[in-house]
Amino acid sequence: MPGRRITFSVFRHNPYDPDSRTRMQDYVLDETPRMNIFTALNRIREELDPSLQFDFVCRAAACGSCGMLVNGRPRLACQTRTEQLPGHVTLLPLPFFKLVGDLSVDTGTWFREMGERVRSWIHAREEFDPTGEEERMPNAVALQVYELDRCIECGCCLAACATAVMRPDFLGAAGLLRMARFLVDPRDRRSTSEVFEVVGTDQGIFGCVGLMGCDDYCPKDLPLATQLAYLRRKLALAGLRSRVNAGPQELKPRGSRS
Amino acid sequence: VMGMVVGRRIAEDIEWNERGFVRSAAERCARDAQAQVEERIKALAGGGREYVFDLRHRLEDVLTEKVGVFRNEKDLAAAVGELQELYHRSENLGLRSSGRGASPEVAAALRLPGMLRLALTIAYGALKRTESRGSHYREDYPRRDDVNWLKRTLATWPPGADLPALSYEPIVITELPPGERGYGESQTRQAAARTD
Repeated sequence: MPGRRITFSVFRHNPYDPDSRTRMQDYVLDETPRMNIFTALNRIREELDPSLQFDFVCRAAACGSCGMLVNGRPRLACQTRTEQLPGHVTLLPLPFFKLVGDLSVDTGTWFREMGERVRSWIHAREEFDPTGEEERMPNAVALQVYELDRCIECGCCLAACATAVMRPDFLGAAGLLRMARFLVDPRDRRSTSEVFEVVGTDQGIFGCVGLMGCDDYCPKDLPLATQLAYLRRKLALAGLRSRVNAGPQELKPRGSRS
Repeated sequence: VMGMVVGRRIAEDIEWNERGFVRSAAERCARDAQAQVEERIKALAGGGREYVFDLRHRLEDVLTEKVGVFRNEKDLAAAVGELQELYHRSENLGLRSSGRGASPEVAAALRLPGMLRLALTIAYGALKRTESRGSHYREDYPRRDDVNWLKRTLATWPPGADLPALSYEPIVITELPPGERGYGESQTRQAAARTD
């Protein structure tokens, strides 16, 4: 029994070629067993059009390189089986990020800047003592930190975000989750006001309109909805208390989270 | 001594002040490498008839079929021959696309000759090593031979060659000799001792 023929309509544009114009280009492939967008695009590049630009590295949904819009939805291409898709597949590069060419966008620059904005590292109070014992952490807390550390920086949450499409300076679910990761980590000792300065603004948590496109499309099933809600509650309370008591309350409980 | 100090300082000054002159060995290396790659990219636009992905697919197949888990003389020799052919063909690579911007075809074409040289090093080294050792398994030489082959293969690539130059470095046992792994080390050693 013959398999399906799939038509891939792919966005084409090379911003570094002055003659290039944006357009959609169609490629037809015979579907093979267990075909996914990764194998399909590689076949298209090698057999039909060697100029087609796209990014893959791990092909195992762990590196975050292959985020793209598949029939309008942000997904990891290597994790998207064609058997789940109709016979016509439209591929577009992720919105929000700078286009490198065709389906390839630059997520690295944005994530690097986000890391600097959020100060994505442990803020310790004491100088590191190489001869001392390590700071102990209950396993349950370590697992909580790990859950928030699993972000692969693919950018799908930003591509799915209503606020990000309107304000390019929005921290996004990825940036807010990164801050939450450090709030949960007992080794991080940054102050409430340091946290508030970065995320207690319209570029931070208060820019979120609650669409939750991020949570719907995160390929790692990160707890974005709950973490964003948590951040909003904590920062709103901290903001209120600072007005009532003329001093923000401690934002970070030590040990387990409520 | 004074003359040497002054002389050296004069040389440094000239090097520093000359415009358009390369200032150090590192810069010179970088410039040479850049010029080399630019030459190669220009050559790709010169109308060569070979397609990078055809050659690469054949490279993948040769290694999978003939330089795999179970190796033997016939297949390894055939692999070396075919890889050399592919290497010569790769000198005639052309482009099917425009090559402008971050071109995946140019990227693949720049990488292919190096991949072929690496494949040749693996296949040729395996052909020469007439024993089995670790993941190198020879159906025609199934035993490990510490008498003749307890040594490391070194490969260099003479300019213009289509095969690496192999040499060998003996393993120096410092504390522990290699142990029994159960694929004939002691038999080889006994056999060698008997013929001495």
